[in-house]
Amino acid sequence: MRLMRIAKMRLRSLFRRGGVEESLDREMRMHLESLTAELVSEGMSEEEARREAMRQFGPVELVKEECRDTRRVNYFEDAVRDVRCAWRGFRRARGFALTAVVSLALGVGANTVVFGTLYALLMRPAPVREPERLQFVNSRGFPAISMPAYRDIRDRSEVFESVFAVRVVQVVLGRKESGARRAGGLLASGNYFQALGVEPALGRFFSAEEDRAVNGSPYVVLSYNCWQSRFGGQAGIVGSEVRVNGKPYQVLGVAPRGFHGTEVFYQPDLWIPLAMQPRIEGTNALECRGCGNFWVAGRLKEGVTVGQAAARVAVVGEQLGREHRMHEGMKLTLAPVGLLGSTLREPTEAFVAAVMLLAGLVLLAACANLAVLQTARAVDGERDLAIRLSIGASRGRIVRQVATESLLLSMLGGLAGFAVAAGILELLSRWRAPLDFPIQLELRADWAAFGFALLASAVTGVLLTAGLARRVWREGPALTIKQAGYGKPGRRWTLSDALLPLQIAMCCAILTASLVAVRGLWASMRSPLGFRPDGVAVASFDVGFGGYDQRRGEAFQKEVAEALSRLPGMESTAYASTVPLNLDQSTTTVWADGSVDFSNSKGVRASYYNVSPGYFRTMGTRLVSGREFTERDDRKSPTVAIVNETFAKLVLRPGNPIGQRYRRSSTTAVEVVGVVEDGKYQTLSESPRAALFLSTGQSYSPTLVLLARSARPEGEVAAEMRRLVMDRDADLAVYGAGGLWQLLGLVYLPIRAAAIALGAFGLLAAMLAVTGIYGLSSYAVARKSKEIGIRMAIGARPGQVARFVFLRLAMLVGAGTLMGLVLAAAGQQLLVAVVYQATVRDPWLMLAAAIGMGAVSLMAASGPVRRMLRIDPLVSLRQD
Amino acid sequence: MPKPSDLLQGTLDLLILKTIARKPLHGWGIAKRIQALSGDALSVGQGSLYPALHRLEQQGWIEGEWVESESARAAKFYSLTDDGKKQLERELQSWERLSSAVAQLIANA
Repeated sequence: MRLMRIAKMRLRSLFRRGGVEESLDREMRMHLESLTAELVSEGMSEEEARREAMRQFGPVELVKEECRDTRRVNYFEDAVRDVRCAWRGFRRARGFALTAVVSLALGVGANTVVFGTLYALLMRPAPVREPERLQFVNSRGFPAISMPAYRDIRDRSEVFESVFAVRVVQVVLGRKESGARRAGGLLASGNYFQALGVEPALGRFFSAEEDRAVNGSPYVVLSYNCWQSRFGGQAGIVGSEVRVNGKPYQVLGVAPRGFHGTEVFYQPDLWIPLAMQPRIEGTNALECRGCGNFWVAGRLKEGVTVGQAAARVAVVGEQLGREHRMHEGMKLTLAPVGLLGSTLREPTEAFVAAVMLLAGLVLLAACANLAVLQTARAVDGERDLAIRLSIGASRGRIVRQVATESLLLSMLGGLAGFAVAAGILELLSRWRAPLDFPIQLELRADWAAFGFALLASAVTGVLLTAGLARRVWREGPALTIKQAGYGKPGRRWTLSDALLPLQIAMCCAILTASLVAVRGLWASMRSPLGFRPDGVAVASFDVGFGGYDQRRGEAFQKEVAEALSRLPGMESTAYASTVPLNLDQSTTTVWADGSVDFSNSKGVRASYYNVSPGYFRTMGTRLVSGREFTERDDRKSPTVAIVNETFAKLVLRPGNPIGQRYRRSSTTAVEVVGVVEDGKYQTLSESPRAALFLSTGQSYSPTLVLLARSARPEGEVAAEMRRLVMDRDADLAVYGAGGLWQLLGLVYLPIRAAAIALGAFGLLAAMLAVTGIYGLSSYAVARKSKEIGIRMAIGARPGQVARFVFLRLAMLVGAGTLMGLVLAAAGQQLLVAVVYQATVRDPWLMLAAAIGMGAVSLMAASGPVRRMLRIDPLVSLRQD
Repeated sequence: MPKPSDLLQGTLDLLILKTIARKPLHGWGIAKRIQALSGDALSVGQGSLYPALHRLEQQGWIEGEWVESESARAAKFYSLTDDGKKQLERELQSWERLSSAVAQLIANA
């Protein structure tokens, strides 16, 4: 009952404020009139009585305010009023508000983008049932496990409800009428869908029974996207026939929308039973213990912890290592699914953590920047505060207003930042890596990102409030009107002076990091690859997809290669099974001639390539000694190889390598006829590794990369290459057609991402530094205008006055830059995760960062200083 | 005439509740009545009466209503609510406890 009445009262005071106010007013007036009437009746004059009544009653407005306070809704009312007041303040100081919101938007935006990426890469749960119970099995840190090893792990480990294997394959998918297109496929064991616990959007999935008959299980499950984009989302697709690599397959069902398996990078278009592997790929890898490249993951049994499972799996690995020479030294580990277990997860984590930290630094710099700006703005603000304090506002009330202002600013900045981030994330997720692989990352500005932006801006707001509130609280009573706006006399450096160097330090550290990244990119673009990609056009096709056998395949390849060499303007043409630094890399183990122990540990791992005559000339690889392959290196002549210098050093005897032999197995030896310069084969950061090249005339590969060096535009040549293949067989899909640089996209991806991300941060940092220094120098000029006026009045020359302001600024910026460089040097370890061979301790780089900061400061300060030089002593002295 | 003594902290609520317990009164009336009933010994600070009234109203002990008074001018009359009556009982009891304790202390000291 009483609560109801109270609630009614509060609501009335909130919503019928006008009525309540009027009532209050009338009540007071009536009292005063009665009092006056009484006093008149006691013999005072009307005028006197009114004055006496006022005196006895006390300050009417204060009483009213106290009455209002009892309503308890004034917190809310005050907040609304504070927001209005803050808003008015921003409109008055548009430059300040805009700078503040923009710099916050940049800070929050940068963080939200990084967080969005981090979330998508590392935190977003896979679109399956209980993803946290799925564990990926890595072998010695790599995702590659062979089918026989998979079966052993599945049958022996006992800790999994089910263990499944998948293999990435590129296929050509089409229907007779619509033509063939390349698609990303996933060969999956029959228990795959059941283990993941997903329900089909349409039809059904294949079962373990439908994955038994080798080459006899022609079923496919389409991804939702593939069904929509290639088959127009027709419901009749289930049960119909599609062609995969030219062979008929029956569509069993469509996977649910958004389902892309467990890996964040690879979004398959279709799933095919693993038993079809031999037909899809042309070679049977199902029974081969040495054929890795299957990915294995499992779902933990109820009640089994990750630790227990990992221990058990490690034991199984050791057993396999003892039982099979092939698995010697096998080390099995578990890691969450999503990034090929630990293979990509660990570097990704380090990369993203480092970038996130830098982004955090950007936000911190934005905060410091805002604090500097707010301090600068306090020239007017302080006087305001002083007036309000002196007419009786409580400090708490003023802190609340300051807080409202800061929070409003940070929320505006946060919202703007989120909008910016949403746009960038959208752009990023639309971007396709220039790769010969359907890599796509789902980036969305979702609730997680929004929550993060909100949190980041709230933290910003609180930090800003804390700074200002401290000032009001401590100096509250001391802030007198007279003093306000002139700073404390006698103190040359104040705490707020420390803000600028702090901000400069952070900006400088970020700038240095971005310089390191950009230089890293530049260096890696120029690091010796062992071949010269400029001017080389490429196009790939796979005759295996067209169902060619080796004899017809070789003939077809030769025919295309010859046609290519007849194209106008070709300097040199060739073909190869694959090229270095491409995604598709193979390695083999070789032994020195005269070896007796042919175990893995005694051999040397070497990258190998099948290349045609003219390959080294076309790629621009230098022949150190011996000869290139010729047309005569065919099946009729003994097998020969060309090796790189590292191979010669590791496998061959010292002395002339030409004519020496290495062992492919205990029974076969291969003669070396040439040595070429070392290069990079798998990653840019690898240390020198052995590589060997075999002649295409002697070893067959259905997959083929056409290569042509010419002065003509690469795209144009690549288009003609595509035509050469299509003219001869329209069912063969040509992929990866373009410049060789594009084919190498993946190895440059991390460094390019780092350069773009850090470059953007560097730009942001520079912008923040500009606004911060501009704000502070404006502040300094405004503060000292009286002093400057006096100096000019008594004859100081403009140069002297400028020096007076500049010197101080230079000291602050210098201190900040120094701190920043130290900070960057301290963070070197962090940068190494982002940029290959990052080094901060490079005098040129440090000089560049320092000069950059100096230039930025000079630019930012020049405006206010020019303004200062125009100060009219008469005007400035007449102030107040 | 001695200066009317200031009110003891917290007793203003009690006085207001007690004053309007007999019949509803407006602010001016309450002030006059407290002064009169105490034989001019107590004077309510004219201004400080209103915040107290509004607080009691917000707490739901009393209820204000605009009515035409005898002088034909509208005034806000405050009356006790049911909760207010109980509250008055409680305040009276605690006052009695306090005053008897003080009296006892003074007598025995």
